[in-house]
Amino acid sequence: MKSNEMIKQNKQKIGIYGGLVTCLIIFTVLPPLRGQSLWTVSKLSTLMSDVIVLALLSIGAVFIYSLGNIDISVGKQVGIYSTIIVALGNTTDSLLPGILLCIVIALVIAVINGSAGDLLNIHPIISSLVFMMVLGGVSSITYTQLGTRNISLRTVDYSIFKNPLFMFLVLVIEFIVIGYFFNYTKFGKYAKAIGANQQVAKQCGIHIIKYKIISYIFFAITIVTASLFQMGYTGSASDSTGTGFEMNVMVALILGGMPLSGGMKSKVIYALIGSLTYSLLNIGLPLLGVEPNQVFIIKAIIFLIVVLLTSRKKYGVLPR
Amino acid sequence: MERIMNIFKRVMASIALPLVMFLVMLWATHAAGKTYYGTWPMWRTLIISCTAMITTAFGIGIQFKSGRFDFSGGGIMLMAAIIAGRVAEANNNSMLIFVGLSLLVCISLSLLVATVYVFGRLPIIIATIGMALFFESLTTLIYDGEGINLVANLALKKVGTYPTVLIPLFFSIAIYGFYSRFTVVGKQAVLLTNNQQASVNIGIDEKKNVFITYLYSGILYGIATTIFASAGIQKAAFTSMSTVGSLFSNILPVFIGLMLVAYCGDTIGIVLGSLTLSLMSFGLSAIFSAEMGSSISIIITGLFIFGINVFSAQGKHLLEYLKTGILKRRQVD
Repeated sequence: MKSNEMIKQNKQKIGIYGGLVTCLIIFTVLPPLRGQSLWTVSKLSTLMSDVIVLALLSIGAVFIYSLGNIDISVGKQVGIYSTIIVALGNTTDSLLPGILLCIVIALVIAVINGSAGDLLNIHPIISSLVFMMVLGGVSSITYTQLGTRNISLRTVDYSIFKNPLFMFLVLVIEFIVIGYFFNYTKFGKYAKAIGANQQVAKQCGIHIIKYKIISYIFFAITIVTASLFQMGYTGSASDSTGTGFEMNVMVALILGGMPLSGGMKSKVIYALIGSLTYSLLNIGLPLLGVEPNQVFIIKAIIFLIVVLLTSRKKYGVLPR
Repeated sequence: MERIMNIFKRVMASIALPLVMFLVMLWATHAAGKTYYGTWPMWRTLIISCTAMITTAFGIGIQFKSGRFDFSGGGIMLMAAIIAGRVAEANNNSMLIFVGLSLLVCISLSLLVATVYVFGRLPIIIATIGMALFFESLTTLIYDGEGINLVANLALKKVGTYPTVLIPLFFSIAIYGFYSRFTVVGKQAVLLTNNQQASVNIGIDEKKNVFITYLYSGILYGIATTIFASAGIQKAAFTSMSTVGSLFSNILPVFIGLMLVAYCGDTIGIVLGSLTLSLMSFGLSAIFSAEMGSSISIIITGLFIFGINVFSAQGKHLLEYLKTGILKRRQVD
């Protein structure tokens, strides 16, 4: 009886962690029957390469999603930052000028995205939609002018960004840093409070615009970090770099159990769980002999099952 | 007299956007030595691209104004285009089968989305993202993931050419207008958007409303599919959520339509919004190279959307501020 109640109370947690654990068990037990294994250095390296950009972005995005906002410009930002880092890397023989320029641009975008909604009384998604379009257009013009669809680093050594251990280290550091700011400082606490009820947060004296901008700045820094790894994996950038990342981030966060309406139940761990589950499916399903085009439908069905199990049911009116 | 002036003001406010856009682009294209802009052949091509945008925008708009941000429309249309196109091709390019199946598939899939949303009790974004992923993954499985290419199929492409394209245009306007103005469900949807809990408390059956609204959006997506299917090569979606981007490029007229709602209603507003954006896109493509023109068009459209949203949110305050300023200056004089 008690265990039933416990399961009922922790249904959501069981669903979220259970998804990841089930994936791990399935992909550990079944592939050896086909002479394959997930636990080899090469497969774990592939997993790390697959998860790193998504996880870095998703962890940063927790700040935005906890506000109840969605940023759909992230894919185009990754694309343009990767392009800048490669282009300036070739010009200056160093990655630093490109990184610094990207940080400046990312901060400007963060300030605008964070403040536009409340200052101009528009829906927060509008400013990120505008950035998505503007950056997409700028990227397209850049590559049209260059006369190519792809640029590569020529002289700068970027091998460190392909090192799985370095990827793991950066991921752990980002998780700890963002986790600390999100859970133990007023930045994260206020972000969650704003997401839970902006009016109440305002009445409690929280400076809404200031803390929204700070949340977007945290995300901006993680976007630049993720762009470095995106660029570093192949040492190149193209006009399609970053395409669809905004949706991947959203899917990973939903899969991890993040409430899209934001609020106090937002957690950084959800981003990590969601990204890991998503990448595990990408790497693990082919090991079971699933054809590449069948991977999509299995992922879609798993996504639906997980969200049906874990989503908090709102009785009365239908959830929006 | 006052009534006539009022109607005149509303008409002028409604057509101001497309008219200004046309005049600016006409001047810019002629200054660049491109005389194609403003000619009858341009209008014919523009009507086709505009109709594709309008029909899709109506499908998205019907959910958007009901307070639902629906991501599944692109996946639904892609599935319908592939199934209807393939089956029609296999049946001597039967137009009847093509149009019928486009409608049937879109309506069925839309109702499936409504079922998952209503009975799964998931937030609408999560439910529609899940269904979009599901439909996209199905496109990679059916017909070996080859998609559909109707670009050279003159028989099935006919519905997407002038003057036949006016038929789906007319039907989509009629259906959206009918839903918004003459149905109880349409009016209840507005109530649900404004105060969901109060609307349910006064007896509105929300579940029934969702199903009927999705039926209408399915019909509109079906009409849009008849044009969308032959507009280009429709490949299976091998990248997750790739259909969302193309779907939401058609949401822009909805924003303009909702902004113009006070002057001409959202039905005409969406038509005028699509016309404005198509006029801009055609003009820029004429001035610059096709690729460059489309890139610049994307940037300007983005800034345009920003401006429109800011104006619709702040326009009243801005006008009040200007009026107060003028009055103060007069008092000083």
